[in-house]
Amino acid sequence: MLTLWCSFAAVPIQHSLEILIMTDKEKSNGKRPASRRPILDQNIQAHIGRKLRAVYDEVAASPVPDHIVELLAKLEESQRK
Amino acid sequence: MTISPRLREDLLASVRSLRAFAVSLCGQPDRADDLVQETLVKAWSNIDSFQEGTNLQAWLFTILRNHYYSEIRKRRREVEDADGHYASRLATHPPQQGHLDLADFKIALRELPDDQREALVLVGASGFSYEEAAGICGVAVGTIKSRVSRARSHLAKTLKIENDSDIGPDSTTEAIFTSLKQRRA
Repeated sequence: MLTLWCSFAAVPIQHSLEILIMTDKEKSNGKRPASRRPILDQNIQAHIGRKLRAVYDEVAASPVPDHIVELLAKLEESQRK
Repeated sequence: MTISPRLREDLLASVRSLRAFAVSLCGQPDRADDLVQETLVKAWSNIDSFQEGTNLQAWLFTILRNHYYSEIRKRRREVEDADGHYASRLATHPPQQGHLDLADFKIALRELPDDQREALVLVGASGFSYEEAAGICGVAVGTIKSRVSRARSHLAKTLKIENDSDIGPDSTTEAIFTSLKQRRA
């Protein structure tokens, strides 16, 4: 009777252990099963990436404003003193 | 305190991307430049704590980010005292500049939750690895990965690009669409 009970109980326990182990694994590599994680098409990702960099580069590619350049010069000067 | 010529050069080179990151955080170019200035002053006075040879850009981004969020917390307290004066200022949207086809994207980007936008910008535009971005934001690598992924899905949904056919094949087609739209207008 005991063995029978154990074999019954073991199924759900093993099952839930598997889930626990999987969750830990997923956490460590940041991945979730495909069914739960909306994976965007590579092309869409690339498209978003291009737009994002274009927005970013509008600022990053523009010249540094004078007042910031002046500040850096002042900081350097203060270092020499 | 001495700053090697190499470090000085790196510092100057970092200012450009630091400005772009600051704009993505606060959405206001003027405020962004203030943030950069305040960051540089802080960095300069703490330069001894920086280990040369490690990632200077990540160090500067961390300082800027921490400074920005502590300012926000401070302002939030002030808002409660100052009868919504700051709140109205904080709620104003940044002026939209640049290309027409980027305007929609900028709005969608601004509408993202702060943590998602920041993760997406760090990884997708500033060129940091997931690990570096996690270090800058003080969270686990998995958290950054999930924020970036959610940010992309969010943008795709907002911009209605949920399948391939929603994307113009190349920039030429985009240009044609834009000119057609302008002609119609």
